[in-house]
Amino acid sequence: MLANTGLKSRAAFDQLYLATAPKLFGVLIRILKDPIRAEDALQDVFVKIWQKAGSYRAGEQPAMGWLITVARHHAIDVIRADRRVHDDLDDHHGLAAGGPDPEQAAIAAGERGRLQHCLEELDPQKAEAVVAAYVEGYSYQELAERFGIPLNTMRTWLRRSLASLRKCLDDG
Amino acid sequence: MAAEYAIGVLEPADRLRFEALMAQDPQARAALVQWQNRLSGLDDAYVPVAPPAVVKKRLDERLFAATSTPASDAAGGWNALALWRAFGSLATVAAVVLAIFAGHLSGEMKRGGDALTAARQEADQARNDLAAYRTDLETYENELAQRADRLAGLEAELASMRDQLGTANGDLAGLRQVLASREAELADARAELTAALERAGPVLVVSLQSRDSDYRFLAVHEQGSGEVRLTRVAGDLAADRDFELWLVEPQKEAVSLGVIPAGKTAVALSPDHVRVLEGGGLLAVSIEQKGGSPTGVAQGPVVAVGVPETL
Repeated sequence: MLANTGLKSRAAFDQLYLATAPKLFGVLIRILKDPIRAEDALQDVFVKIWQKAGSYRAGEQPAMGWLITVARHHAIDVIRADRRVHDDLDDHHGLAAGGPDPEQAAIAAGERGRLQHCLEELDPQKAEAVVAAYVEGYSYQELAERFGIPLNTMRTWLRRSLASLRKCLDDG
Repeated sequence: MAAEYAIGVLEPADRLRFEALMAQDPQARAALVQWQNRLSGLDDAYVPVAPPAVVKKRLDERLFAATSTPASDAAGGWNALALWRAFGSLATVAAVVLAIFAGHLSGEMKRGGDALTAARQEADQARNDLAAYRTDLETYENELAQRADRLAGLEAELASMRDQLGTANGDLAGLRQVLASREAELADARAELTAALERAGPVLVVSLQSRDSDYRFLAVHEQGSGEVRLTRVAGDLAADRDFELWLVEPQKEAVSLGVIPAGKTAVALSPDHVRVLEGGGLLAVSIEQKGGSPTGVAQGPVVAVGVPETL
């Protein structure tokens, strides 16, 4: 029974890999900023997925969202463990300049209208901080450095921004 | 804290604290899931990048080493159906197609079975028909054989009749020849008579016949001549016999005038014979042995006698 189950799972796993590996690899490259490290991380992420698959509950969350969550958290674990300080911070200062950045364009294209709308309700810099924290996996420390504000202020910014976001999303 | 955990900004120590909390508090977990869903729209920012094939290869080596059951299988495996289903569309489609195909196949098999049954019934019917045809055929063949026998009999009869007809035809031809010959002789006699009549002198004619036989002769003698011309008109002669002509003077013995050949002949007469004939003597014909009577007296039957008449 176990062997049979294993075979079935393996076929399904292959299919899952085929369908989702590029997206997850994109997540890992984006957060780790290093394709080689991202390759190793992708292996680790799929091992985790294989091990944790039983804990996924279809009613709670879209499967893709769950997988991306696994990938993001793994990537963040990696960079946190690395205690790595981004040496390419300067490249990202452009984030603070106005205009639609790639992330927001992608969100719009993805028809995530409500989230887009609620992010627009925030102060632009704070919205950018939320998006950068999520998409790039930045820590409070990194965010504080990027936006040139004290760490505690950054914490307050983000927490308030998330609270506002929640109110906007849940009320909308 | 769920929001910070979801967005990923927590320091490692805080992350561990939250995870410990989630393990005990379902509400913490639910809050996290809520946040994850709220923020999932940002996932669109991640542009898919195809990973090198070697990643999957190494991954397979880690998870599915050929010699051993993956240690992680109990955790993943069957229980992970919900996740596999979410990305198992291809497998699902294949399963549906397989099911449909199996349904078709079973329908085909049923139809095939029905067709086979029908074909078997037809074959049985055909066999019965064939047996009936064979019986009919045997009957026909017997009848045909009987008819052939009858036909052979009729043919033999016909052949026999043809033989008889041939024989009859042959006989008829012979008879016709005889008849033609007789007719020619008769024509000669008439011509002789006519010629004699045309001559100047009186003519004696003797018609020789008998009530007891079919033989008839005609004898003509011109008065003053030394001969009598004799013509057989009717009656056949056996091959080993000859006709002999006799002159019969009343009250005297008959005198042989000699053997006469078949057909027309002229018989020479002596002066005495002429005197006797012209004086009213009879002429007679008898049938004798070949060469005539050796004794000078008629030995065979007299078959025709006649008295001379003057024309």
